[in-house]
Amino acid sequence: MISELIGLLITSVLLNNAILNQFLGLCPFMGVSRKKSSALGMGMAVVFVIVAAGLVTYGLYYLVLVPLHLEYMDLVTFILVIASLVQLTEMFLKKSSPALYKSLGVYLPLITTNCVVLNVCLVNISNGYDFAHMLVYTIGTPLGFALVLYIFSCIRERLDTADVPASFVGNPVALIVAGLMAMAFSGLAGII
Amino acid sequence: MNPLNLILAILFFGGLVGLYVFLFIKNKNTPKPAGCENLKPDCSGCRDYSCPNHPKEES
Repeated sequence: MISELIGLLITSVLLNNAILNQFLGLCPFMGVSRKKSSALGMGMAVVFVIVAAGLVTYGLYYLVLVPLHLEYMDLVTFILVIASLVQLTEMFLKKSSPALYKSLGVYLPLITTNCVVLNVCLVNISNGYDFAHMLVYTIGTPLGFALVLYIFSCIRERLDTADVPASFVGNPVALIVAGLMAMAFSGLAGII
Repeated sequence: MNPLNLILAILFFGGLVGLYVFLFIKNKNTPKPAGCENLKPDCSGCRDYSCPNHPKEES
C-alpha cells in the first residue's frame, strides 16, 4: 500500500506531469514563467487551490452526488465548486492575511480557468481512487505543476540574456525549451 | 428519468450557481488590503483575450 502510494506520488509529480505529459495548464505555464518570483507565487497558489478543490469535490461527489443519483452532474458541479472555492479563498486571504494575499491573491483569478484543477477533480473520480490515493494524487499533481513551472522560469530568465536568433526570441524558444524538458522528464520513466 | 431526480438536479444546480453568485458578490465587496489595490499578475499573456489579466494589445 505504502509503496503504491509512493509510486503514485512520483508518477503524478514527474512521470505523468500535468504540463509536460498531459499538456494541461499551458496558459499559466507560458504566461507566468518569465520571472522566478511569479512562477513561485503561481505554483504555491495552484498547490493550495488544487488540494482544497480535490478534497471538496471528492467529498461532494461521494456524499451528495452518488446518494442522490446525480453522478452525471459531476462536470458542472466541479466547475462551479472550483470557481466558488477560488472566490472564497480570495475573500479569506483579503480579510485574514494581507501578506499572503499580496503574494498569492493576484494569481487566484488565473487559477479559475486552469484546467489542471478540473482534471485532478475528474481523475480522482474516474480512476475510482480511495481517500489515500486521492490525497496523494491531489497533492502530487500540483507539486509537479509548480516544480516544472519554477524550473521553466529559471531557464527563461537565463534565456533573456542568451544570444537567441531573432526569429526565436520569446515564445518560440520557450516552446522549444518546453519540448526538451518534456523529453528529459520522459526519461525518468525508468525509475518506476 | 425520474421526475424527482430531475427536480433534485435542477435544485442542486441552482444552489451551486446561487452559491457562486453570493461568493462572487461578497468577494467583490470585500476591500483589498492596504497596498494591494493595484496588484497585477506578471503575466505576459497567452492569446486568451477573454482573460481579464491579458495585457491588451493596442490595435
